[in-house]
Amino acid sequence: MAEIVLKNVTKKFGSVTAVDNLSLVIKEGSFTTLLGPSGCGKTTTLRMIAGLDHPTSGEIWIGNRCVFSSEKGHYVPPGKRNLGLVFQSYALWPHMTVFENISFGLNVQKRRADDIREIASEVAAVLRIDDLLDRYPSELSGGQQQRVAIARVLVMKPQVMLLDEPLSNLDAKLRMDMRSEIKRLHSETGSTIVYVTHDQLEALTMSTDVAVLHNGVLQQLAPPMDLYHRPKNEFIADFVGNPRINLIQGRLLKEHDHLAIEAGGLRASFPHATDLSLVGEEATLGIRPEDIMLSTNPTPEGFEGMVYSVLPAGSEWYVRVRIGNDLLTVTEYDDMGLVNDQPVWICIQPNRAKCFARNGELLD
Amino acid sequence: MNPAAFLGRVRRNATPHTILSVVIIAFLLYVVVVPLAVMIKETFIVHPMERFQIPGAMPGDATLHHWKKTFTGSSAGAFFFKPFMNTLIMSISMSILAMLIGGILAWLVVRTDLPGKKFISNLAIVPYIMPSWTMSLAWITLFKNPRIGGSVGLFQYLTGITLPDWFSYGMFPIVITLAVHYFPFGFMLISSALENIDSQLEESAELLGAGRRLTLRKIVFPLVMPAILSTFLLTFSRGLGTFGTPSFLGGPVRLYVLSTLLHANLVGQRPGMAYLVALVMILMGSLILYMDSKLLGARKSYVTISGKGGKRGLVSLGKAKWPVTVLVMIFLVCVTFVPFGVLAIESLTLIPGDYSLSNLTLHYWIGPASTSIGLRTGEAGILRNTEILRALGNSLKVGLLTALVCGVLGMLIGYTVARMRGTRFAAALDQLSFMPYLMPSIAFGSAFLALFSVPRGPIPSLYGTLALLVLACAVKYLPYSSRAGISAMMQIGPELEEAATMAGASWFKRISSIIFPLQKSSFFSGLLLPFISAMRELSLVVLLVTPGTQLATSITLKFTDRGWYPYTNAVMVLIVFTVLATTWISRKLMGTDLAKGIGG
Repeated sequence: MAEIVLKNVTKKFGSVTAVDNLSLVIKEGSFTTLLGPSGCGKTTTLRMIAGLDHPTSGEIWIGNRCVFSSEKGHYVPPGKRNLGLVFQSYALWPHMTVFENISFGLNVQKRRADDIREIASEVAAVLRIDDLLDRYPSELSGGQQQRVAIARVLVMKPQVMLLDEPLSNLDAKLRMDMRSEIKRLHSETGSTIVYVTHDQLEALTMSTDVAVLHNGVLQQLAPPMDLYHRPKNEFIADFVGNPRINLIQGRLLKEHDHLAIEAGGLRASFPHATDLSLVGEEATLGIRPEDIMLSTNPTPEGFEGMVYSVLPAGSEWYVRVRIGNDLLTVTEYDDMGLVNDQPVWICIQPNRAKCFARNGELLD
Repeated sequence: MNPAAFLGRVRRNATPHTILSVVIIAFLLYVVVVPLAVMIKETFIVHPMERFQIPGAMPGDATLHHWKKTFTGSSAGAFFFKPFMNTLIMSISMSILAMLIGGILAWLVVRTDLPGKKFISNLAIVPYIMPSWTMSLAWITLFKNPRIGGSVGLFQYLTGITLPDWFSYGMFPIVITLAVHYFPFGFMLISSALENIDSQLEESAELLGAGRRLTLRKIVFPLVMPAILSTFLLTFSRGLGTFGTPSFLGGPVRLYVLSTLLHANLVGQRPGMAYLVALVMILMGSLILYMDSKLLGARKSYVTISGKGGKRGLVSLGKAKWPVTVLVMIFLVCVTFVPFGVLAIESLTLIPGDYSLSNLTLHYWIGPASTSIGLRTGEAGILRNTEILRALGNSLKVGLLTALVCGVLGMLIGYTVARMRGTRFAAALDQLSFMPYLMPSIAFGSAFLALFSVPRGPIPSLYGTLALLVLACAVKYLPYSSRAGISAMMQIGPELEEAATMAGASWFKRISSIIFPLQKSSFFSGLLLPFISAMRELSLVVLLVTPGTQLATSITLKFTDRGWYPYTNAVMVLIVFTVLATTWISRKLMGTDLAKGIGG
């Protein structure tokens, strides 16, 4: 268990800056997810914490110990940082049995053969792979390989576990199962977990904290629900949430002592946004699909639109509604029997609309 | 950057493989750059034995004598331009012929319903495994005419017809025998190119209404074109540096190419002019290397669009099927069993040229030294002849050591290039280790001669030692093993090793328990080709051997010069047998695949 601190970490590959002046504190015992689209620098960050990549500049601390400092020329090699890394491809050694894979690290530490056997079978039992110990990785299913990869890390009793998109090679159903198992593993071992994924749902469901990265820059570090409901900028709002948030271009205007936005025939007001110098500027209105209510009858505050298409998804319906030149997605939980080109009226739930300034920042 | 930061960076990057790679780069630069400088200098000075040719000059004086004599005046024809033209004619025509044979064979095997494909593929590689001049010795044995004295060839013995000189010696047989030796290159590279074409590319063309012929011309041919061109350059550069064949077949009619001219210059005590010829050859080699790297770039872009190959309909040969099969078989037998058999028979005839049963003997294999039996040579049969046995032993030693050095270096280079992919350091290592590939062998040998004939600084003169031969062979064949090493290492994802790093394993632990076990089979494949190449090498070592360090290949020259062909042939049979047996055994035991290492 340990806190991880990154101080002004920058990583350049040639002229490309993969991670840009990243400062981040990963709390002890937390399940922190590095989330972002591919190429955002999340895996590079993880590899720098692991010690496999070296920052161009900056410092990294793990549990009160400086493991890397470009300034002081300080560097602790990966094997001495007391952390474990589960690779996206699992990286099981194909020429070793499951047991040999799991016990490799203990062998490197020159532990006694009895100890090794004991620790390995204990961990194998926890991960329910104890009957696979004599098999080779090629004889295992994807989920089993995943467990072996985790077991190989767990036997070392690391203070930090790093997981690099560990579920991306599994099919959808198995992924769901493994999510809950890894989450449970976190609460049972109590170790700090740093988890890398590009799947926002995975980040929301598993983490205690999510760090969103974009183009090598940290966008926001927050608990999952904060991230969802109070995204700091348009990028996060757009990246987190499925189906995607509706974003409509518009212009800011004055309403009493605060700002409102008029966007594509919709209007929303923001009582807490009082910077009236912004009046007249372009801005973006953001509303999540579940924050829009749909009605087939005219309502006083409703905006009229037209059904563009209806997409049933089992427990809910996604309705695409055309308003002016914009297409909005609305989540409905009841079958309203909508048909294409039918007129509908939409209503935005109070206090759920978000407004992003021209630079993408959330207006509060 | 402050000193602490700098030191920290150095320490992080100073892993055993990077240190070793720096050493390898420095060494390659040393053996490539320094010889060039030495050779250039040699062309401008008077050598001890040239005092009498250049009036008033003392050894060591600066002179333009070599340049003038080589490139200008009445001597230039004989000392440069004629051999140069001969070299071009020889290399170009034999490359074209080799490509044609190899390409047609490749198409037949990969794309048609020809029967016995596996057998054909195996047999088609054999001519390349045999020493390059095996075929020329067999040619002489078969088609010798009375011009060089001694007995007549098997053909004249059987038919009584005296063959014209142009058929027996000179350019015609040189081109034929070299093409027969090098066509397996074309066969292997073109067939793998053909196999790698995504069948969907052809199917799309066919669905759009293109016939087989049009598809072949518009789709298949352009796609394999880079492979064809690259193979052509490869073969061409090999022809440039080859020594045995033009020496055996060109000698009797005084036909010189650059390689034999280089040799003659050195033997004739004209080192200045010899190095000048070598420099020209190296220049040509570099030019080819440059062209190949341009082509390789193009080839890479094709690789990205090539798919898995997929299942593809085979072209039916129809009525031509059996005639074609028979023709292919006859051809392959003619270029494998026939030359081998001819040499074997020749080594068993007491008086050359007499093929009656009563003339059969094992004298040249196990006979005592005698001046009254057979050719009255006073040499014992090769299996009792200490000189020959020592040469055979030397060949084995050089072959094994070369293979080991190449194998280990190749793996480390592959490892470094794969791990540091994308850096300039990796690119430099990759290109530098590939450079010896297209250097004409004999010119490369002469560069080593220039470099190691005297001690230089801490590096002793290695002339007259087996170590020099091992070194020359190891550098020359490094491209085989480094290419094999790179492609093998690229296939192991870095995570496999990183996982061990995370577990705290040291570099040696990672290499010994992760990398090496995963690479065993390609490591042994990487050993095979340098071993075979060293066992059958002549062009590279002919200038470097001394009486104490004779190899099996170079010792045959002594017997050939005296017309004692049965000895030469017996040794050749032994070499060919060793090489083929090694290939076969390693394939059975370790599943090594020779074709993988050839052609990079």
